[in-house]
Amino acid sequence: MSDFVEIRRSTYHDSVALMQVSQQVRATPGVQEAQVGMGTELNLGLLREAGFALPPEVGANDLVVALRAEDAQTLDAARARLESLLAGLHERAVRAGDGQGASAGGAAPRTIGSAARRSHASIALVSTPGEHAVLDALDAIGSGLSVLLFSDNVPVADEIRLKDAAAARNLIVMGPDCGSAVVNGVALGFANVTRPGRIGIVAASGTGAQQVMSLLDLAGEGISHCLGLGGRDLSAEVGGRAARQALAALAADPATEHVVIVSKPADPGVVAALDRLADDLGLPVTWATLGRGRPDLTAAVETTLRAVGAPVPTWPSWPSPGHDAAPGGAPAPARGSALRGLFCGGTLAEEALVVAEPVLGPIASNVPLEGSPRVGARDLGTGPDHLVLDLGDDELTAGRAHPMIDPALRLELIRAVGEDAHVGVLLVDLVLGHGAHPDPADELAEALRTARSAARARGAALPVVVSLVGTEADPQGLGACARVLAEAGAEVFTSNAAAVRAALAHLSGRPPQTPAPVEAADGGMPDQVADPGVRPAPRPGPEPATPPTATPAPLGGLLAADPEVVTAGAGLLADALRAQAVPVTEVDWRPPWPGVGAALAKVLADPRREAANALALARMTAAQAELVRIAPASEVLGLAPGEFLHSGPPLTWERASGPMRGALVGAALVEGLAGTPEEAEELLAGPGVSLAPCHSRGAVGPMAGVVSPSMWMFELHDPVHGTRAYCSLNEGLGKVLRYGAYGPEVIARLEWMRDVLGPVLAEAVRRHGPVDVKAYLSQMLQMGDEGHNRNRSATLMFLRDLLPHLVGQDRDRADLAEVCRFVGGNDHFALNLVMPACKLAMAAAADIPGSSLVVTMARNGTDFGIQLSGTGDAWFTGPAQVPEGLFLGSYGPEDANPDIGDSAITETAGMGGFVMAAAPAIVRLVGGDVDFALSTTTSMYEITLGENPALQVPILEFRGAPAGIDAVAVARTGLLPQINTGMAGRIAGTGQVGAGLVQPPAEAFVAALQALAERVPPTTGE
Amino acid sequence: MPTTLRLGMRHAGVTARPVAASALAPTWLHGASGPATVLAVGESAAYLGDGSGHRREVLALVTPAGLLLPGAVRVAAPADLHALRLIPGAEARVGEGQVRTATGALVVRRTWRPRRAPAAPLPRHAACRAQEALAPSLPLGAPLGPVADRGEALAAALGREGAGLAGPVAALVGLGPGLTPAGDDLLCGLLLGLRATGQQARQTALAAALAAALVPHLHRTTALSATLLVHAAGGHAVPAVLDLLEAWHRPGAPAAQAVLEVAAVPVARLGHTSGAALLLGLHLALRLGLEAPATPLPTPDAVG
Repeated sequence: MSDFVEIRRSTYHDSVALMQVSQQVRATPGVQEAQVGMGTELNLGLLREAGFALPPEVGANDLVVALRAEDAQTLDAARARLESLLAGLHERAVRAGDGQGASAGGAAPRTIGSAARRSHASIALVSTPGEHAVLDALDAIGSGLSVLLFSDNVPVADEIRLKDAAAARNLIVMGPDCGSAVVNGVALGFANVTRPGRIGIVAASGTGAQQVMSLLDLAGEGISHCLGLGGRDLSAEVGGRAARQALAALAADPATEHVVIVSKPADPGVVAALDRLADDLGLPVTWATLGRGRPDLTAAVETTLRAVGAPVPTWPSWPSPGHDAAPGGAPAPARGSALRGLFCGGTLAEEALVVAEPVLGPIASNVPLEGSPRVGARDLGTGPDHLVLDLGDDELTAGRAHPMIDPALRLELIRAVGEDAHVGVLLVDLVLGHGAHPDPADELAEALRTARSAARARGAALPVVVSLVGTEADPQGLGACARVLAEAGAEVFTSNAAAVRAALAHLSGRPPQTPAPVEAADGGMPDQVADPGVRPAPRPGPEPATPPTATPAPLGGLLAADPEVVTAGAGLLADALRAQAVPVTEVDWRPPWPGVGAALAKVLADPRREAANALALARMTAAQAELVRIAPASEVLGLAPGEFLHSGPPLTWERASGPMRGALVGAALVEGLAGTPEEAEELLAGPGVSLAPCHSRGAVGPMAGVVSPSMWMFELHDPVHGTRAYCSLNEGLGKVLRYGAYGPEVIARLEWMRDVLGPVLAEAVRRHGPVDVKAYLSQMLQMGDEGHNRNRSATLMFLRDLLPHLVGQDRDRADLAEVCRFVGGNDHFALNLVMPACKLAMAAAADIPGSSLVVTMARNGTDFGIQLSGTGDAWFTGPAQVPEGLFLGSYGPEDANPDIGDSAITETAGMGGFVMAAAPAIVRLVGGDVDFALSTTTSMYEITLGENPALQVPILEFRGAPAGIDAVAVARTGLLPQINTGMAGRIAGTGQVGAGLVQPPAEAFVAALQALAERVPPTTGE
Repeated sequence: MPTTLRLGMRHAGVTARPVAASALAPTWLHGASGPATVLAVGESAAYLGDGSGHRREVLALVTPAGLLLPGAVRVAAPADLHALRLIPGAEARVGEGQVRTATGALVVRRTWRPRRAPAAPLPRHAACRAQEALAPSLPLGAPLGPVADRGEALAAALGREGAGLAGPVAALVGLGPGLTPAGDDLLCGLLLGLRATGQQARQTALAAALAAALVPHLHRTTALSATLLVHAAGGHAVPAVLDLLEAWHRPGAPAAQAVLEVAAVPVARLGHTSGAALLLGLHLALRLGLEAPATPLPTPDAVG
């Protein structure tokens, strides 16, 4: 016996796809166990139980592959099979990305919002796991899409919240747990292929809707639309929220003449209210609500047909050519006496209970009628009692696909029935259509044959009745499936109710009974009970017309246009749409980080968020930046002796890293506060000095970012918002203070900058007048720079603008020449202009309640800190990472200090790593290749609120830079902002050792979102 | 792969890719398979003409990025269209719900229902607002050449009791270069505008009279343009035009004027002169509605 375990980091496929892979690998001969799944605790526990040895560090975002085979050779075969299946999944993902989504710039969309922006979609099909589905649905609504929420396990409070949020935007949420809808002939989820027609369906039940639409199609009637509601919509709690919208939309739809409302038992108050609404809308409706004493679905369809003046046909059925029985004839006596119903369709199972109970008495089920015995979903044991199971029930689908997709469990149970002497008749359903198993009849027929021969082997007969829901136009083909099943010895009915009655006939030995007209049962339902419920309503005017004063199209025009769809979750559902020639944009969905779900849900539901973020983005992009003054920090910031500013979030000397300490030592020496580095260290460790972040004073500093009172500062002004930002003058590269060097040459240069460079540049700026720095930002992207690690063009533009005002100064010509040489020779000089310009943009976007925009990313060499617009001055930190990249000279990774500097303000504002595509040469400095530069920029659009039209990326057809990092998008996609950065030496005094790429720690974003969630005001009614 | 869905159907060596046909798609798409000629090919759409020698409607194959003509076959992804490797002038086979070339095939899997312009009376104040909002997008000077003058002549005839329409209509059909001559675009605009400004009213009768006057002249323009004229008479148009007409009917809001102006922009951008001529037609329809005293309607007798 050989085991194989492999962990694939950060690989994500949807669960249906993975279950199919596991199933297919398991089918390899000699393979005893095959599990391919995400490394969740639950999955890992199961694998350990199965005896697999797992490595310790497996996360929920890792794909775990565990195979067990009888020998090494078989194991190799299984691995090969697995590889090809996973490659197939990958190919599908690539193909999905290859569609229109990819043409927007390479990266597949990671959120519904992103997919919506790049398509003309009107609806999102969400089938992500329940705990995340609410977030995805909110994202869809926020992006102006209606939602078909396929996912289950969504709390009812969330359902109400989603439906209200959608209605407020003239959109609809169909679901949760909504399996079926048809919009303009397009099947979303599970639905049958029906002819277009005049009957609209509003359905709180998936397979119930499929039964109704299939029967209507068989009767020659067509469907205009089928709008799903989710199973709870007609409960008192949800109050028919989606049903009201659906009825109004269908009333305004010119194609719809009559509506059927399909539901499991519904709240009488809700039913009455909907009836009144239909009356007001002039919309004739038929109710097909299942329940004791209520007409079955087939009867409701017949009522509908009569209401629209269409003939009621004989519903097609296929007798079995087998020897057991012929429908209508005298069934052969069965050995057993119990009914076994094994259903995939929940509503079909329920209908079976409703139809059979009056004949058989109480029937055990995992979804029993009130007062009947409940059996555990896995308690499928044999016995003399009647039993009807819904194998699609939530309890049974946790961790496995719905039996309409993966029939394995049901087939196993069917085979077992053959051994059960108690069983008198086996009743199963088979639902065809889009989304269902592509070829279900052969497997089912095989299982039925096995069961029947097992029964024969013990000398018993096992009659089998199949309720087949589908149409001839379904991909699987109704007739073809029926014949396959009939050949296997089953009687096949297109009416589920008729199938149940045929099964009862086998038990009683009498021919099937046609139902007596149903009498009002409990009075719980309104007047439509006696006659199964047509509400004829006069249409206003001589012909169905557009209302005289047209209001906005209902549901945002969902029913008027041919659908385009965004899908998130099961790839199978996207494939089913493609097979219908529907344009699909598939989201490359990944689960959000663990532990952030509750905060995300709260933040996403904050009604202020959208407007707050829009305002933040508008302010950020509107901000201007003019260099208005150069003066010492003592003057512009009021910095007193002994006060030092540093980069990043707040820091103490004890926690400061080598380069930060080195820079502080150098600054103390420059200020004359200490005579030697040792004295300086003693001073800095004592109580006499104060350390504060640059950001706390409206300033930014590259690398260590240390500012002391005598240092000259650029002062930039934003005339739009009236704010100011500051940054020191750049010292150049190599051994410099900001990289932690403090040797004599460093101190000498700083003194020259204080005595010559500062005053000369200050006078030049005075003479020139305000210098438009924002224009440099726009221009440098056209010239191959990204503003963080490439600032050559902006430096030269700055020098060009100031030159006339430098040469005209009445000073020592040698000093002026040295200033020109120093500025022109330092490719990074303009970094210290770009940074405060970016700071002005972010300052403009700060302090907007409810906004999840990141306004600061900064590092101090120990911590990485971020600030959000909606959380004021609070810092959220995590450990600074060591960048990966290229090293100078003989330095290597072991020499590098963790990430340091306020220069990530450039990325925060959409420069630097976010516009690497505009500066492909940067990869020679920071590592990576040109492709990486391109894909980095395109992927950053997934986490930003918008684009900055002033910062255009030529190679992306002058698309605006990705601007405004949304902390919510970061957490949802798991995509971290990409930062280009310099690397400082770990040991104080070393200076620069290289440049590279780095990302913030995820925990900073988690903490920030939790704080933002705490500030969400309680909504009314909570 | 045992569980792949039926994404496409392999047939005659090529995979047939699913497409959705408009309910207004040319009938020869569903008839017996026969030759078709590729009329035009673009990044996002291709037009095919019936190659049987009969003059029949043009078949448009349109990707999501393309201009969605009311009778178009919607192709879900550009790759599906590109797989046909269509070359203008080359031949394809069309029929039985399929379009085939040597390299690819499309098969109709679904029918889509094209939108229709609202047919409802437009209150006077709304019509005024719509007309003012149209002004910035209307063609100035001579880009439309004689089309503008002849459009005025037709409008005058429509506004005059008992005036014959045949002459003014004949003077416009097929006037202008291109696949959709500007004269036809103006007629489309006029038909759609009349529909969207009045129901059970004078405008509707005018639209019917105009449509009736058109029929004998359809053979004088391109097959594509004739198709679009027929669709316009039924209230069908490309989405940008429908969006504008729907915007006319939306209840007033402070920003209504600006909204209408913005809605006109995508229409103005259609084709080379098409958008301008369409807008002019819409403008004339609005003006007819606003100028109209309660004059008697042109009778069918007056037509021709």
